Amino acid sequence: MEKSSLEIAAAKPRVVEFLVAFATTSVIAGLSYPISHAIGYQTVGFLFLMSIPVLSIFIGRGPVLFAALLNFVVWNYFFIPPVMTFHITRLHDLIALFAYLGVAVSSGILVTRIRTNQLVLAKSQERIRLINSFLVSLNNAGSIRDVVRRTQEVMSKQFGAEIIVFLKEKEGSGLSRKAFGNTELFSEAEYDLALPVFEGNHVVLSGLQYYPLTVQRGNIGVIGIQFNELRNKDEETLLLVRSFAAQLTSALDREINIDIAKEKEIYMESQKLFQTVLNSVSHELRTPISIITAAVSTLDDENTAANPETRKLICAELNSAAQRLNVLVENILDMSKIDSGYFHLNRQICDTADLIGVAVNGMKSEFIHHNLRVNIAENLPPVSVDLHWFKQAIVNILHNSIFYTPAGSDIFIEAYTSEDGLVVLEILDSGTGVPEHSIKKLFEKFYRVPGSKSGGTGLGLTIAKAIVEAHKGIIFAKNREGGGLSVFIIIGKNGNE
Amino acid sequence: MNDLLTRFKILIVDDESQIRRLLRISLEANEFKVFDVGTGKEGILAVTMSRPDVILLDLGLPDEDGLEILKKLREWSTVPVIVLTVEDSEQIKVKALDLGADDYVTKPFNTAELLARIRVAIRHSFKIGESPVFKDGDLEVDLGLRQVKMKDQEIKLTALEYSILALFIRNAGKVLTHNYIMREIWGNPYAENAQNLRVHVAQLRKKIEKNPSIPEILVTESGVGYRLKVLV
Repeated sequence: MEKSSLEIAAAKPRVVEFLVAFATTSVIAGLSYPISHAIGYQTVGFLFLMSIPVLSIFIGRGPVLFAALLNFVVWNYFFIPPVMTFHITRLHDLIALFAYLGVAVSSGILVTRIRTNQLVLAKSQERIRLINSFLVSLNNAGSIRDVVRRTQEVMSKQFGAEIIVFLKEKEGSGLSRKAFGNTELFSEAEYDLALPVFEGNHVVLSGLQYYPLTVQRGNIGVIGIQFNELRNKDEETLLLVRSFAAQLTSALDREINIDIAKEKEIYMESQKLFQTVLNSVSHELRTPISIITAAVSTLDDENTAANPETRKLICAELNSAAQRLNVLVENILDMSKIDSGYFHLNRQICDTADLIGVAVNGMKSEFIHHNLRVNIAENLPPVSVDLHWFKQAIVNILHNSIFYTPAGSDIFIEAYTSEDGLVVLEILDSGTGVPEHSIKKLFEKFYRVPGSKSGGTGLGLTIAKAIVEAHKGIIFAKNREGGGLSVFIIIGKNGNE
Repeated sequence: MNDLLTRFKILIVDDESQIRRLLRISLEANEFKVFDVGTGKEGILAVTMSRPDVILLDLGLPDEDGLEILKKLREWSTVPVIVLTVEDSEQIKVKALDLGADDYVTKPFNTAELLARIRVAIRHSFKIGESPVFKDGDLEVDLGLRQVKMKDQEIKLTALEYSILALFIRNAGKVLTHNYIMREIWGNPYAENAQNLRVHVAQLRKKIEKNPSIPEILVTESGVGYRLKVLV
């Protein structure tokens, strides 16, 4: 539709229009000639006159004027007496003839002018509509690639053109060689043509047409347009192309800014995570080191060393600080083993009760302030697990339970078979539980429930989850109804669930 | 001297229970009475309830920033506060001192060092052993006569050097921040005085230190200020 209206506006009068003009005159003359005596030659003049504005609706100014003159001649020759001569005897005929000419020419000119204006108006509306729909399309684009793709679509539909877009380098100020759009157009030679446009802000109009994509702070890239050779590249089209390029520029600029903002956000996030990790690890390392340093220097103090009671207490603190360091180092090592993929299971069939026993026995000293209640159902099927790793998973969960359960309260380990024959280990603590929105995150690396007491790196449960999942088991946590958290481990009989 | 300092009450505010236990053992072995709490809120409460003579305040508390607690505390109490900080937090140390902390101890700390700081804080707070004549090692300063002696030899100080030294002696054992010193000596803490201060401290060290490049009396607390070391 756009194509046709653009072409009409730009079209030169064509032969066919002259033919139409000629035909119209011939038809009116041919039809009126036999009856001109009956209707009178003046009426024929009116018919000729009427044909002019009607014709001007369909054909251009030149053919209309041609029709008006032709009518003038034909009317005079064939109709105005004496007929078959150009001679006119009566004055009022002469006046009527020239009055006809004046009215026909001026109405022809006026009507064609109105029509041209209408065409211009329709065309500019069409252009606005086009730019609008292009804008809407660009607004829906979600990435630089998408913006270019949508532009390519419109350009090939409207102008049969192919485009290639070069953008400014992300870092630095040069033009990136990475091309968008129709990358088949890309060649080093084209890049060399695009580069001066990017740098010098001028338009190259040979071969591919390059336009700079300019925003306030400078050029963000270059668009190269290859027009289909068959289509004409008139001023109107170029103007439209330029406004498309301007829209493309602002859409690209928006996408670039979004990308930058996203990158910044990701960077900030990772920076934040790094800081959190660093803080928690350094806190976890420093605290036992502080304790060891202080304890050693206290032992060095004569007042203290003289008292065997104090000395014993200090040695106990030294011991527990060393253990705490050990747990931390183990956790970090486990995590890096799991992360590096150097983590293979050495599965053995073992008794579930045995598995729990091994885990609990290793932590006896840590249970001195809590009541551990173990409840293992009878006739539990054996499980196929890597004893070392699976024990570590249970130990990590128990560490957590001890850490968050006030001294003197209960910690439960329950083991039973589920309805579908799977082995369920449930470890329940009597702490405060965790907020519901934190439950899912509990197993994320380095995650710690906001506001929880210091100590812990946020690795223990992550490791437990990795171990359980390596055994094809499931691990999840739930808040207990009476307060506290319960962690469930579910594994198949042969670990093959 | 130690007898004078016994049975003073110390409040420990630290969230690490193991550190609290250990501090308790060390302090009780040195005849202090110890209270300990794990959060800032409890800390504030404990200050009103048990009226400690010194507070050991960990800045990394889970419920509230240690500096905020210090600020609140200073609104109504002048009890000496020694903050426990980690190594790499000079700005926080300075901030804590500016907010009215009396001193700081960096984790991991040496118990003897901590005890020394506690004693200095108590001495200043109770004005124990204050006399116009200060004597520590080879250095002897008579604040009444404005006389400075090293190994019984009188040494000449400029007026400015003397006022800096006197300021340190009145605060013997305590860390003084650059800002504090500049305010006391020049009446304003402007940056141009910082260079001045460094120059005068260097001059002073040449006169009172055995080896001015490795000072033993007027020591630098990196990033924070200076401290006149005293033998405890």
